[in-house]
Amino acid sequence: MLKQTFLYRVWHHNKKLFYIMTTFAVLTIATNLAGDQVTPFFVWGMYSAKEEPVQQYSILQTVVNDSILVNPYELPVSDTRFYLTSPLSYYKKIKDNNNTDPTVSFLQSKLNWHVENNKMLKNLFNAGPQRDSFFTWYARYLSQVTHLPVHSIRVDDIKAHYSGSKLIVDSTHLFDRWEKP
Amino acid sequence: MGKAIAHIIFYTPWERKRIARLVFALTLASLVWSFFSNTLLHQLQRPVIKYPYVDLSYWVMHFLHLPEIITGSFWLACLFDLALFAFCILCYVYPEKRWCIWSFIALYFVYFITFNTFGAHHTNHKIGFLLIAIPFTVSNYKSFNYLWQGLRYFLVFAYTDAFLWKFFRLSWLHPNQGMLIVKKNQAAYLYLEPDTMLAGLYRWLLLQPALVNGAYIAGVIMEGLFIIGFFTRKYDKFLLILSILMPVGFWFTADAYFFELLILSLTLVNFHAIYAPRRFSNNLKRGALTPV
Repeated sequence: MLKQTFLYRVWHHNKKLFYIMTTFAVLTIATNLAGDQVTPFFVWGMYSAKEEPVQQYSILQTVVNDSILVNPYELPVSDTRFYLTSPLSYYKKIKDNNNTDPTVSFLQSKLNWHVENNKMLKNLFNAGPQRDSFFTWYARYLSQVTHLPVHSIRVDDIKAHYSGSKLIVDSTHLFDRWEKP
Repeated sequence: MGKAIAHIIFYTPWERKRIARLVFALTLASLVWSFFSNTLLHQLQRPVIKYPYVDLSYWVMHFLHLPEIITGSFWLACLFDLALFAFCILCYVYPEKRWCIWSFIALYFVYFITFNTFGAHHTNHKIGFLLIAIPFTVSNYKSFNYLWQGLRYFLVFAYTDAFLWKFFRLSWLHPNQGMLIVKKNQAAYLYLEPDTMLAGLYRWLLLQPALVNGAYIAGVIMEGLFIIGFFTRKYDKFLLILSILMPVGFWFTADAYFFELLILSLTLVNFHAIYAPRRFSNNLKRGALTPV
């Protein structure tokens, strides 16, 4: 029975290859048990967290040059949409978290690591310089994607809820605004 | 000729070369796709927000300032992207040159980490391209076959793992899990594109909670079926179909693109069945074989 297994055959063929494969498998299982991914030992927990019902959904809407709505869904390529929405969402999370990178808060709450006291760790996460230059970068990226010079950016936070199958907008408020200096 | 040894298909060096060409052609297509997505490193426009999260590999990369240094200079990023394309093409042309394969893997690893960290999310869809070149780093054809088979187990593990996470976190028992995933992930689409046919389809689905929640459970079961792949290759054709259906499901329900992960589905294909008859007929045409 054992001789029929894949790893036994690898062992029989090449011991070094066996050790590499086994180490990879063991570390992958270990990161999964720890629930913490360390590339390339991946954790595949997508959509496994329980979704709690929410009263309102938040949608970030970007308008450039006071007139052009950036609709990421009009772009045929998904990774462009990812780059237009994901860094902006994370920037909002930082702003909503009293200008602190949520990972810093996570390390503090879970591991009691005070990142601000450690210079090496401090440089790993987003702080003032990253926050302050976010919109300058976003303008550059938007300009590349839309092929337009971007002079201003307005990001609105739209709160909406579902009524049956319809999405009803409850409120629209300004999240942030940037003007080219 | 390749031979099957107890569920493992051993590809010949000739078949290995053709598989390598297919792999690197698809990898090149993915890089071209990244160019049109504006997500090659020279197109990231010197990004600032980073997301190493608690992944130690990302920490090491940021300690070395590698993502910052490469994307911080347009010309350096151009050079990096050119090298990425060049090595991918070299791997296609010279699939036996192991230094080319290793160089490509190292470059793609840097690209993978940089793409994810400045995208502020650790996406999984490029993992396939990160790992698919590894079996070609060995010269021994048997070692190649074991590594290729190992990648097949990796794919099987990925879906099994996804199933186990959902199973043990009891999300499959959570009321309205499927519906809540669709509502959360499609809210922006329904707001920005309310008049499309797809939006109409989503609105109809939002009135069918049993169907949407049932589809989520069906997805969990489909992931669970990959466990079979640990014990037999007999159902690989069936698993191949499932591995194609899964990314479609992820896209439709959660607006998540896992299509690039399909590169790993190649490990479920029996290339011997495809290449062997072709090679036989080519040899026959060349007169290398004489029909009796």
